[in-house]
Amino acid sequence: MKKFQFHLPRLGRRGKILRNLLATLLLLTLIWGQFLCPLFWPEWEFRRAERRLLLPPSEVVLHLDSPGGRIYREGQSRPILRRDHQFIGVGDGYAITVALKDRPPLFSAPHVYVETWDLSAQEGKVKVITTSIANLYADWRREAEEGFLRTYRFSMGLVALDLPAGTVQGELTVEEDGKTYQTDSGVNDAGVCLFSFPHLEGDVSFSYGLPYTLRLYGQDGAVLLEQTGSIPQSDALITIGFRS
Amino acid sequence: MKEKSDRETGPEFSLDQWLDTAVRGIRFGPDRRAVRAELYGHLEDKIADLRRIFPDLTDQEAQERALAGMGDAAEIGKQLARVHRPWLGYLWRVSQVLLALCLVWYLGFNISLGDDGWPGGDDSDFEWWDFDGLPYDAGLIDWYREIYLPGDDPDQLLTLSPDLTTRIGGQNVSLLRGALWEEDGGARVLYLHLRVDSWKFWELGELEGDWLTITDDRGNTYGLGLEGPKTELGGLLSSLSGRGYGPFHHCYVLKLWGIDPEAERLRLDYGPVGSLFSFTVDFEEGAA
Repeated sequence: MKKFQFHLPRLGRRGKILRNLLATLLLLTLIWGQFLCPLFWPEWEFRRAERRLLLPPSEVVLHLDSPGGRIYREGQSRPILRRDHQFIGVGDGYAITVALKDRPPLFSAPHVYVETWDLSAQEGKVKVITTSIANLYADWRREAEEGFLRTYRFSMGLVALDLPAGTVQGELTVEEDGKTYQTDSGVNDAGVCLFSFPHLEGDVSFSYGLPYTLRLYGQDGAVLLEQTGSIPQSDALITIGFRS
Repeated sequence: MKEKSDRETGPEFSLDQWLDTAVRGIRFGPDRRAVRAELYGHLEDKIADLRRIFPDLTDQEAQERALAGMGDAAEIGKQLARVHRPWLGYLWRVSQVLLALCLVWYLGFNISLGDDGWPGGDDSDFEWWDFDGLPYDAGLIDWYREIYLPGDDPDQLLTLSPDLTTRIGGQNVSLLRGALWEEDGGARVLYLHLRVDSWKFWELGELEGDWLTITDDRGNTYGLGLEGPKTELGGLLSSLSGRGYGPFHHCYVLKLWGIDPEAERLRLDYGPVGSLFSFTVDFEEGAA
């Protein structure tokens, strides 16, 4: 009985190059997959987060790019730099905030946290959503203590969307425990105001329900709109890419 | 005066010169050496043939005749240089180096990670593909086979194979199976097997229970998680849970507790606001 023998086809130089490049591509794809498929640009990560949630692309109205926290590892004096990014997009009746946390400068995927807001459910003309201002996220080296302590710090940010035409300046007042905090903001190119309250530190959720007053001013300083309400909470908080 | 070496004065001298001249134009070293070896072998064969046919020939004469038969070394060299382009050789070498580096990186990295280093690792939820259209691989947790496949358990009221698929944002979302059961106490529980799949593994979609709105034709709304029904101890009775995943798919089990016995249809709407997609489950199409 004739023994069956399988022979791979003999490849020429071009064939070998193609085979090697294809095998390299396959291995690089596997390696990329192992690192959770990081994308080079944070904007791409934001768009990917939308696609993973089956959402159509929204209009990006705000991108906060933090200067990055420094993380010291024990025994190493040189910090590892990380960057955080916050994107806010507005879709058809909703807003989406995507936070990319712990995004190292190079080859690794960030942690992606998504919040969505049903804008149609808000009563006021101007829609309001919150975001954590993540540029305070950092690790501080505590010289006086042993080892290194990771400290997370956030401050509350409030974003006003759908501003009346002609708005050039916004002023927001928030009341907490009988105290009144006031801050103002210009209008960015996408037509939104970002109000930052660094004194309202801690988890943003501490701020939900606080009463606010929003005043929007035109070029001549006249009040275009005054709106009161309470700081809303997002409808969904989603963590992408983690499997318990 | 020092006597010249055998190599410079002997028959090999002109042979070497001829070979060097012929391959000088080939710039990729490995090719140059291979072609030279091939030409050398060819010349040796030719010299051996001449010696066999003309036994009276000296080594020198046989070599000269063999070289004369090969032609002008410089002209042959030009043609060989034209055939053996260096960039192809360099590209080949680069492709070898790249492949070796990737292999070392991939294998080394994975070996250091142990079980977690390979797709799925030791995660029992991992399956390459949802071949059976059921949660998990067959044989892993067969409880779901009993749930979804028709059986003779009197508590299994009906099974469904809606096999509904909608395409959204380049991803397929499917409602593949369903089964209605009656629990102790008479409560009806509906199990639905959902799957999201895409060949774009880097942006494979995920379903969020918060974005599901479930209603029936009698106007009932079914909440999930904390907004759904709970046990006396606070356990969640209705939920959307991941049950099996792979590089190209995510599988989910949607468990709905307390289905209205009078309901004939159930509608699933999905989206943060409005509906990105919806499925309708018709109980009358099921068969126990």
